Amino acid sequence: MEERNLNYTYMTNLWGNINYKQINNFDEWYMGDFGNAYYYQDWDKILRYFAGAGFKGIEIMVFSVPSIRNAFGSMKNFKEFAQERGIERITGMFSHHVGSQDKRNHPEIYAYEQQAIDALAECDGINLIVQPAGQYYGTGPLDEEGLKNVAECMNTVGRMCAEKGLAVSIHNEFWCAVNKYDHEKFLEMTDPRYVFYCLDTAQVAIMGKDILHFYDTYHDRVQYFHIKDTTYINAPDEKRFGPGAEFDEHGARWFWEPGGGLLDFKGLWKLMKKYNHKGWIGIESDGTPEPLATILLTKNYIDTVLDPIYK
Amino acid sequence: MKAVASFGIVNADTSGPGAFLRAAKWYWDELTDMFPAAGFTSIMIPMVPNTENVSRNGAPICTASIKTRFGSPEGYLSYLNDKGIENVEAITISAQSQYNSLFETGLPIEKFFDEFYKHAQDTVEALQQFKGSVLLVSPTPGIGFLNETFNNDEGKIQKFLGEAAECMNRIGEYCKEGNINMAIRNEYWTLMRGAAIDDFMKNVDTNLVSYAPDPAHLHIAGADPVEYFKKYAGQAKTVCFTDTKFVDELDAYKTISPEFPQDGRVQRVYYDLGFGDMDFEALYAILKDADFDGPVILDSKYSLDIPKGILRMRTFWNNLEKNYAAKEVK
Repeated sequence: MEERNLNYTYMTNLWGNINYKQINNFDEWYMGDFGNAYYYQDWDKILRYFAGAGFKGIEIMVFSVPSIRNAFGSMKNFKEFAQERGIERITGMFSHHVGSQDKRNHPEIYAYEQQAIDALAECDGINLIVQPAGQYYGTGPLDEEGLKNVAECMNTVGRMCAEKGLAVSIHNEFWCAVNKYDHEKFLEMTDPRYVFYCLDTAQVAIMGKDILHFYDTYHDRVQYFHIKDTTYINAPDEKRFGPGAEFDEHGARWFWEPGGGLLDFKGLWKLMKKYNHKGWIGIESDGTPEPLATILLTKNYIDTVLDPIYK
Repeated sequence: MKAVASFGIVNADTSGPGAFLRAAKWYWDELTDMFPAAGFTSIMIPMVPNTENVSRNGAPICTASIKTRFGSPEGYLSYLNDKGIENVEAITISAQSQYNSLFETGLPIEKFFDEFYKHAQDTVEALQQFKGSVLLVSPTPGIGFLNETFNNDEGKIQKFLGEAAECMNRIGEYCKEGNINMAIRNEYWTLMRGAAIDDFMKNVDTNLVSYAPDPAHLHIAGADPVEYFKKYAGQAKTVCFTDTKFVDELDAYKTISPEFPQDGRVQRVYYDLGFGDMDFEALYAILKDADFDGPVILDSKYSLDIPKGILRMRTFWNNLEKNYAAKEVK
């Protein structure tokens, strides 16, 4: 691998849920239907699309763990299968702490997260990326006690991760119960020894935060990234706090590949250079209607815009 | 007979361009319009337990997502009525989806049937508001999952099967109190696959619990659909029409990926109705002979092209009725 400060890993959720290890018979999926299903249903091809586009790492969703185990038998087998196809590292896994504002839910969350941590460790992962609480609708705003409980839950899971040699990082969705008005406060309530921050550029910008200012302020905590663009900077509360806000009622697209929206990635890369950031940079493109196009546009943006600034 | 179109035509857990967006309400807004456009005024919805992750979903995948988006099942029915759909005739719940939720909820297997019963109660209450008539229930998770959970201990698995029968009776009783019919589906990877349904039906109270034969699942499990439709048409409150070409050469039914066989060159299980190998004309005639006048669930499960699949369902049903009528005239 070329000697670089930054390597790129791609969150696989833009594909949906992948059920097959490898599809073996083109005709079975083509004859009679004459569509493209053959190309998009198995890890074999999807991993090769990422590797073919030049990405060396992937991230997975915790919801995928059961179907990966069903298909491969173990996470270790999955890791080896990915490596054979040019994916060097399964770097991260997304998870969530729905209900964490209530301490009574913590034992179930810990039991659930232990499964996630074990699965991530089994595939030699690095970082558990965690939505710290459920959606704002029906949960927020959190009072002092609720926020404290959410932080305590993150700290405990951070220690559980550390025991397995993993890190945990906060991934703050724009529609999460932890939101604009307590975002930084919450980060500061967590234990910096165990809890890091995964800066999802679009989510945080939609929430109304200046991503450059935030990174400049918290660069010590921001060790992981989900890079994605948006055209909805500083969306109003009613858009973020509604039921199921993650999916716009009328189909408006929240997230774009970098360069497709309004965020200042050049500025962010200059700051990464200033702070000598090193590690895997995650790309996330949830919601794209055309994953392959988005993956290739992203790689081209990295090659032509971001790498010349810092790589 | 009443043709009821299944929302199971959409695989909400698949991959590909746009697959992620199947959780968006706008996707379902447009899709829902297509069913009455193809002449279907009654639907069946497969539902999963209410976990937090799916509850924020824009798809009508569980009662919580419906309440989040429409306020209540009644609110959802009003939305459907505006679109030309008269009712949700049936809901399917499955022990497999209950089992799948254990990972997210962290609940132990010992609480399985208590949770499944609560899931059924919640669904029946929604079904009443939907002006529906049938709750379809698949009683056990897959054989492969149970073997894994119980370390292949046949005694524990048989005990679990006994508990499944008790749970079905409880659900059946709850359904009866609510004027809902309860019917069992025997998917080919479950403990009552194929001919095993006969023994299972002996262990439930048939005053409360009926069996809904399903040709694709019977066929894959090695049972003759014609024989089973003849045997059970008289007691049926509903039947399912599902098509397949799948031959389970490598015993996928025993694995932990039975619906998505991982090995071999035969990996696709479901086909749009009329595009597989099932003899639906024979099955339709059996139902007619038995004076069956209940709902027929048309389930082109996991179609690869959903708008086309909905239209194909209409063509399929039209052809069945037309061909039967032509034979009657002869």
